[in-house]
Amino acid sequence: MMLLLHNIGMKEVVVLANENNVKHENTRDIKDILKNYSHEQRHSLAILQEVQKEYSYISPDHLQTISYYLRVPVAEIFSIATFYKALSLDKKGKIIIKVCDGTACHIRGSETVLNECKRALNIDVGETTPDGLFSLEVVNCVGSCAIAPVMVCDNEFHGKLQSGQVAPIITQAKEEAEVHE
Amino acid sequence: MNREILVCCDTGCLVNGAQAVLDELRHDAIGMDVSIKPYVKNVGCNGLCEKGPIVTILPDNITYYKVKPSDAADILESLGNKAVDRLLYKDKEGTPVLSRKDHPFYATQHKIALRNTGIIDPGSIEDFLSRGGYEGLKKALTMTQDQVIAEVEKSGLRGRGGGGFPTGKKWRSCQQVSSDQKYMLCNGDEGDPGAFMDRSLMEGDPHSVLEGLIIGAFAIGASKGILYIRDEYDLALRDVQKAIDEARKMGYLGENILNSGFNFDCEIVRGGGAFVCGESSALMSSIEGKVGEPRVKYIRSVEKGLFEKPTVLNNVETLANIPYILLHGGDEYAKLGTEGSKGTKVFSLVGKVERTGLVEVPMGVTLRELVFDIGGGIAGGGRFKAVQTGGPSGGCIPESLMDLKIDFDSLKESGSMMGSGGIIVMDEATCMVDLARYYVKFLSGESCGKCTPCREGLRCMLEILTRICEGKGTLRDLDLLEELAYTATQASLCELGKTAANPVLSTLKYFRDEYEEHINNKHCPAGACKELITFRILPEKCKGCGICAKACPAQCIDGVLKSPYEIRALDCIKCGTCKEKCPFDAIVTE
Amino acid sequence: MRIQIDGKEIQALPDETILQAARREGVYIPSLCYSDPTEPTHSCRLCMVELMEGEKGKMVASCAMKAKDGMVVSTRTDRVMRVRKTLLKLLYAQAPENPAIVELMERFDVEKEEVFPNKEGQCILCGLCVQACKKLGSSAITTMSRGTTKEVDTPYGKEAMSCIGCASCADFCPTKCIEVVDTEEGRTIWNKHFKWARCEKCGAIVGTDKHYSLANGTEPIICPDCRRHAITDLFAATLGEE
Repeated sequence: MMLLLHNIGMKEVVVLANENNVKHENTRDIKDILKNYSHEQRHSLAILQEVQKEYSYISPDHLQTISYYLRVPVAEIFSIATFYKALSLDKKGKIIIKVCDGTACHIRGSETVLNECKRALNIDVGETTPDGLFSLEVVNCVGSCAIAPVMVCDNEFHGKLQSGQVAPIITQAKEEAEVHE
Repeated sequence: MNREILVCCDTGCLVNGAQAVLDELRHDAIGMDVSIKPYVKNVGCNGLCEKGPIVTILPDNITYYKVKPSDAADILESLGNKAVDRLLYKDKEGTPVLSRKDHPFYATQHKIALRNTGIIDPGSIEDFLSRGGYEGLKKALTMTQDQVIAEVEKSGLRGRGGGGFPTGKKWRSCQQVSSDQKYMLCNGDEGDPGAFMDRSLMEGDPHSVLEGLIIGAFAIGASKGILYIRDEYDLALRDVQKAIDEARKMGYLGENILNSGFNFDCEIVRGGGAFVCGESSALMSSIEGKVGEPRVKYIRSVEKGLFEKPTVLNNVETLANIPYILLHGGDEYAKLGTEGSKGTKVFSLVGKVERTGLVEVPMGVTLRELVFDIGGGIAGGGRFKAVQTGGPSGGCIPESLMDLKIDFDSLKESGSMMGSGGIIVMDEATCMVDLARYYVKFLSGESCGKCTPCREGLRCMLEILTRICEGKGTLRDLDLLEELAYTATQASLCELGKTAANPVLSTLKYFRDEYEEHINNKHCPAGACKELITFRILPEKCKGCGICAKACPAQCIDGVLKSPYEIRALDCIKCGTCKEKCPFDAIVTE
Repeated sequence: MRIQIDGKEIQALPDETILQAARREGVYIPSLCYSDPTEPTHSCRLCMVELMEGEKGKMVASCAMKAKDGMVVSTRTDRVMRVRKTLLKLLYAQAPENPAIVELMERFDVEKEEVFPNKEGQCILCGLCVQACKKLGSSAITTMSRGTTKEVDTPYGKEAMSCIGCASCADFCPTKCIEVVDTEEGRTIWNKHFKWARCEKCGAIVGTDKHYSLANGTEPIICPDCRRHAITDLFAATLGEE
């Protein structure tokens, strides 16, 4: 296996190549994302969301590249990246835990669920665990109000949660993630 | 005969294990004889989400609730025989009820927007077509733009997203503007917390929404359309995209639709996690690739909207009603509802209510019928306090007004509004001051932040409400709240700011005594405001089992086994875990 | 066309807003976020007036509402005054002790509201600086985030690559809260330092080096006065005058 380190342009990834010359990339190059869009400002949010999904955050280099590509000032791309809550300038954890604080969830005890999450993860809202595994977020409504209170762990929904059920969900997610490592 | 077994696979039922139920039924049916083998299909939301997974047998019209995978064999056995008793709904006398017609949640509902949801496989355009799908479009294409608009005007349909603007009027004003390019947009940015009507429609019957969009585009003369769908709705995004792809393949979208000469195509734009983008001009800014800041509306978007072109924006539920109106006529639709609010409305009945879920009823049904007859009253034996309608732009309605007929105008008069249809039911454990604070906190993060009365008004209102909840409020604070509310209502740039104070104003109007209790006596009657409550173990009820002490995360409960335990109030973090765990109800809040 | 403001009839030009017409004709309507050269932001809301339609009135922002023939506008109804006072209190809380706001408060007899918590700094988020930078500068600053956490800054709060040091932002700022430090040698603004571009002939400052090169590329640096003298000298020589 050969190890190739690319430092050209915006490529941020270490590319591993084996004898058969098959590349295993950890992340897509931002250029591969951009090429699917025309050079129009209206694509800014969609591009930023793809970058967010691919890299778990948006870096200063990303902002610069997107700015050049769309011919929109960097400051404006920065404004968009900080306006929309789906985007983040800080790297998110591998598993995102979203506690819903919609009205139905709120009156059915979302605060208790949130406190249990904070206790289990030892981080506050908006933070990421030091091992980079979990990020904790509060979201405004995931649209599953009839089964409130709701928590979404790694895109899996958990409803009608009681305080005692929260920690086991997180523990299981951690175990599953470690198995995949 | 070959029956159909419908398994609801919307998010609520999926969380409760519907996928496994579906898989098990399909698996067990494999060995059955071809002449009696049922067709097992996944369908969209059946409404009564808390009692899911929900399984329905057609044509017998038998509905089963809380179905588990292990029930699959019994269900298949029961086809054509006696129903599976344990899975049926039992009425007050304990009599099993087979059909939804006799279930109090469903009996008085009237489904127009949700006519297909829960019956068709949302991923199958054939299923949609078999129930009259795209017939409304076919009919519209044989009419003139004027005739189509006239039908919608006759129906009296008003925007279902919250604005309540007459849809026909909106289409007519845009149709009259001449331009080389017009846009037809769908607002799928359902941001009201507690509302999931649009989600269920997009996931359960995406083609109906699409059909409504295409008919609207034809009526106003738009060749391009966009469905703006909320970032948080992954499944809806996927299901609507699939529907668009299928519709295009079969000629309902694209060039020369159904040989009519009409060209129209559409795409999805994904939201970025911003409630304010549900506001029409902010939504258009977002599509244009900018921040979602609303614009002044002295020039209406039907004249100059998206990319400065004439634009019509309609809500998901509004569009879902359109094919029905075209097919059956506006007069038919107008037979239902009240004088000022025609047709039906989908509500999400949630909160402290016995039967939570999606409900579609004709306008004019009273709140009391909705919450008590259909919803089954307060869950958990509590006492009714109020309902919140209209989300963060709406207000609360106390017990004394529960006989109000639900329609746009009567709700507005009471100090609330219809909004998108979220009905949050609250019992005496909900603090109305905390509720006001909750909404103001929500809005202070969701406001775009451009104009002073909204941004700064919310900032100051939040500070005041927080102090009141902490027992540090004064009576003058109430006057200041009213002043800030007045300014926001009069001077804000957009409807978010103009309605931001509604939750504060309506709770002050109907529950002023609760505010005063917090201020004068530093007491929260609902027992919700953490800083004002103390947890106490009742010595006469405590059996000394020690469960609370073991569970307490702050280690603040002292005692020895078999003797009453005690909470050290100073160290108590008021998480409520002890109260939840106590098997003898010996812990109270004061 | 003619419109009426507080009983006085004034002329309004086509496509003018109520505020523009009022300004031109010397009728006073307060505002902080409006400026002629830049795109309006409609954000301070101080210019709210009541548009009378018979007995009923409608609150509108005069910086946004286009004037129409026959409009009747009032800038002093109870509603307008009540809203204006609270707005000034809110503006004061954002920029405590700020002269521009204190002046307006004195004019309308408004006391500060102690209960409204003060903010750090003096920015009222009118957005004029961002608009000025867009139009006259290099789009180096922006608003970031939203709601109550919204603020104006350069990306990441760091030295903005594109800032040219023109200080248009500071010129337009109504509360004068953008720090510009000018010395003999250069200017510091938004955490970035610039050297002066000085006229090769007389040594006068013509702007920052970045600003000049953005406008004039690599041309030799000449100040407007020396340029004018050079041209008149050229005319004199050509026309044979001594």
